[in-house]
Amino acid sequence: MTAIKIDNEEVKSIFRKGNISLILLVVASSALLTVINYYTIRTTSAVRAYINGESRYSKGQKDGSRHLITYLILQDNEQYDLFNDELKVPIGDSLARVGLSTNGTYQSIRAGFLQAKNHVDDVDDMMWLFKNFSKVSFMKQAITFWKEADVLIGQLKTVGDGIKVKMQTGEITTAEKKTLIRQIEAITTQLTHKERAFSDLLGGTARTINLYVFFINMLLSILITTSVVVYSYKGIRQLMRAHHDLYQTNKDLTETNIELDNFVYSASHDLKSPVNNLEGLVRLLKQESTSNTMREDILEKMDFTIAKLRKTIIGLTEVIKADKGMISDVEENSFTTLLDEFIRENQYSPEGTDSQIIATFLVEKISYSTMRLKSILQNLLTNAFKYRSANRKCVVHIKTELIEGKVQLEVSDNGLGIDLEQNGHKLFKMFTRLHANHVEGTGLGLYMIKRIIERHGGSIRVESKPGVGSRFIVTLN
Amino acid sequence: MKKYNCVLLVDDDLVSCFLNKEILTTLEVTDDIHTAGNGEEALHFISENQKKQNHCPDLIFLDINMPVMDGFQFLSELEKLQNGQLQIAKIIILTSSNNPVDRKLATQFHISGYINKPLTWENLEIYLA
Repeated sequence: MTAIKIDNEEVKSIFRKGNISLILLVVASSALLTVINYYTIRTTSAVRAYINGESRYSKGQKDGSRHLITYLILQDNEQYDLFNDELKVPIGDSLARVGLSTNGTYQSIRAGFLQAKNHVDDVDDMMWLFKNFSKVSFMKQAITFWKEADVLIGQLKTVGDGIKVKMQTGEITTAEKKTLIRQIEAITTQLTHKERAFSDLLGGTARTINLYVFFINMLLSILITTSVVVYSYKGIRQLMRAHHDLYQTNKDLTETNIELDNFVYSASHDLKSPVNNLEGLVRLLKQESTSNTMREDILEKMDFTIAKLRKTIIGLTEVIKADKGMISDVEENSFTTLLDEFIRENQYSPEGTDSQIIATFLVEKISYSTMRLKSILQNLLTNAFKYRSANRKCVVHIKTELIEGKVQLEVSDNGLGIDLEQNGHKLFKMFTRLHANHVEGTGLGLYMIKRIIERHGGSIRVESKPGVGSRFIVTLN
Repeated sequence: MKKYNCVLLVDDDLVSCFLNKEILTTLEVTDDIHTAGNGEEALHFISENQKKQNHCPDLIFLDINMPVMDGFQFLSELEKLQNGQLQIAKIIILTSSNNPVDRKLATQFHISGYINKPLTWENLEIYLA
């Protein structure tokens, strides 16, 4: 019978090596996913802030150039002030960049970015990106563009300041004005190139980061999903196995219950019969009308009944003994030794004296319960003797061989044989006696050895022909 | 109690047969009692005596657990033999079996009664009155 397996093993199995790896993989992937997404958001946010900053930088520089040209033409001081105001934006960015490149103070860098009209919430991300990515190629290149643009801003500022000085000291000729305007336009054009390059580089980098992150996210999601599916599958499989074991145990218990019921019914039947008979015989004995001859007959029948009852009780005790402590006394047994022992014990019995046993042990040794192996051999051999044919000498063949890795024991005889078509179904049932006039049989032998064999994981079957003989084939393990 | 021409006791237990014979004789159920050790012997007896009006059993007490041919196998064979017309004999199962499976199986056959051993005046009266 299968033992109940729903115990700590099932719980432990959830935490087995393979499962722990899966759980760790899911946890690590989830953590990695969170970290990657956090830094991606921070990076893209900072990149966005720089692109916005570039836009304001560009606008400040262009408006500044426009105001400077207007100042040059109209000589309106307000335009010169506006030029200086607009230029504060790129100059603020420039101050921040210099601060970041030269380990300037947080306050000075922050002041630069704020002067450049960057949003206060973006400043920290911008500083973080610069500090951590300034050595990374895309940022390094962007910073170079920025630095070059700053130089141009410096030039623009110098041109502006020069115009202011000239305006204050005297007239500027039209030709000079044209030259100055061309100079301003040239700086602006160069700046536009630098600004565009800066913006394109960061924009492209942001798109590339997004693409990589998308793939990494997808990969990690697939990894997590796969791990969860594998883990669930394992869990479901374990549950199903547990369910199957439970079902099997239930089935075994039900079968055991039915078997036990049958055992009790059969045992009570064969115990009740002699008791009923004894009651009847005693009643008859008590009757005054019973003659002396009859009384002797009754006493004889009582003796017979008591002997039968004793045999049944001994038989039942053997069945119960055979059922108990199945595997505990397993040891190595020799078929030859056990057979010799049987022959020695039975050589003077009425059946034993006129019988021949031919043994072919192709497998000589087996690990089996000695007591039960003896019981199997004894029952099969005794049956062969008991149900011998009156017409010929009893010859019993006993053979062992290895078939598909299992030890097979065969006992064949030339006895009465069994009509399997009519009685095969009840051959191994309790208290089944198939042959008339063999009152010494209790009908327990084959029932008992079948139980023993099956409880050891083996099987027994029979081939037989009435009038020819029987062959019992036992697969022992 | 009705008197029967011929009673057949089918039982492998010789002591049980002896006791039942005594009871049936004492109660004067019949003057002609025969025994058979198993179903096969009983079938043989019936077919041998079928044509002899006086010896054909009109009451059969049938045990279940017997060698060679058990009670149920006997009933099946008898049904075949008589084409399902079992009214010729009154059949009463007489057994020590308490197994409900046996009792259920018995209902599939045309039997007149099911008695748990031992046979007594009381249980005989129920079926033979």
